[in-house]
Amino acid sequence: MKVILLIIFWGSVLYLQAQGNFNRFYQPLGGIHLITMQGNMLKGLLLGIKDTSVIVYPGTGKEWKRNAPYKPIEFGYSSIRELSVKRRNRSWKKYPVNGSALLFTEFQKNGK
Amino acid sequence: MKKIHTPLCRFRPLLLLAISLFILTDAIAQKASFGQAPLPRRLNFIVSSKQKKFDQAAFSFQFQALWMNKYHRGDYYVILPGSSKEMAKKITRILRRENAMIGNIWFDSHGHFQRRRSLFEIGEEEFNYLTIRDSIFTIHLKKLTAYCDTNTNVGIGSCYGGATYALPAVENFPEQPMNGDSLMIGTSRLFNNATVYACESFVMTGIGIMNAGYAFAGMPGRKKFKDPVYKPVWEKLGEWNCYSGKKGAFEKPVTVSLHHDGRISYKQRNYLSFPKNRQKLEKRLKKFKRGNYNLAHLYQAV
Repeated sequence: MKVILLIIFWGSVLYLQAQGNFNRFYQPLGGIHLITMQGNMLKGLLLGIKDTSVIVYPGTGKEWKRNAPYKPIEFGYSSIRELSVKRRNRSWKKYPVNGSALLFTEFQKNGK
Repeated sequence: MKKIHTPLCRFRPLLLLAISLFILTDAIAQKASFGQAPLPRRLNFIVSSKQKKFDQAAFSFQFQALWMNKYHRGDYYVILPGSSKEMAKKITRILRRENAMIGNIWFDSHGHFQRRRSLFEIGEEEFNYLTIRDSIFTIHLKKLTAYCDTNTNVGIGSCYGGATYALPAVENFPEQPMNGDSLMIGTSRLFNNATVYACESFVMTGIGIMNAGYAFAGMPGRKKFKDPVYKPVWEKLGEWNCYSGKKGAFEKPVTVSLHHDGRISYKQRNYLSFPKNRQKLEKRLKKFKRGNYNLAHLYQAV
């Protein structure tokens, strides 16, 4: 019984921590400069790549480290014209997306 | 007994008449002013939040205000509070000690474009068109109401503090009015129908802000401001709004300035009415490029 109670207690503690510290669900893959179809620029950290979208943290590395509570944004490929990604120990690389997910496959392969 | 006739005795009736007239007029004047309190002394205040980190704009403003205060001691007071509670405490203490009222009060603060609303800050407390009406947020500012009247001038020294335009839609963000006019009306009501001045555009903190010149007007040089997102702000460069609580109406002063004694006044000519400034603005507008502004700032404020 004691063990079950302890598990419930620590489970709830971890859950609450995770709720307050959502950033820890992701790990940044690198820096990202994203140009939208309207031509606007968004600079942030690349958190994840999906088949139809990319997840971006709208802050800097310093802000990520000090847990600035900015909500990650999901950008569909249909709204991206171009993106540049900088991964650790590599230089910036430009990926033309132009609203199509097909052109992004190269990065997806390399990124994963 | 022989009477002695002196020149004074000759004009005695005239002298008596003059003295009686003087006493009469003095009595009338005293009766007229009876029951009326003497005009209260007016003090000017400059409020600028205490900075935890180095901030160039705030440092420049505070340095100039403190420097001028050194040579014009007693003309105005510089308050550097960490919160509105601290500010109200400091100001009320001075006003009680000096038995005076607020003449001019200037709130120096940053404006936050990414929040897409007009605001000013005291410490970490934000006052916008919504919070200015909320009694919980303004509980400490209300302590100053007793020291204000319709002759009090309030200056909101934050960028876009009195913006009346609507920001255009960007990406997922819809078109949104800045509601600077509501903020000004709320501030005026809070300060006992005082006159409120606030800027439509950028408020600069260059050299000579207390020289009653055009130091508050100007163009920022940073790249992020040269984006079409900022176009409505640039179009209203150097324009200020004035809300008179007494009249209950908006007036259009041209470009607001601060005097060496902390008095708020406005210049007769608009900043952009000078051909040199107009040309400079046109030159800048040509250099505008989409993508200079980082949209992440907008998402951070959500």
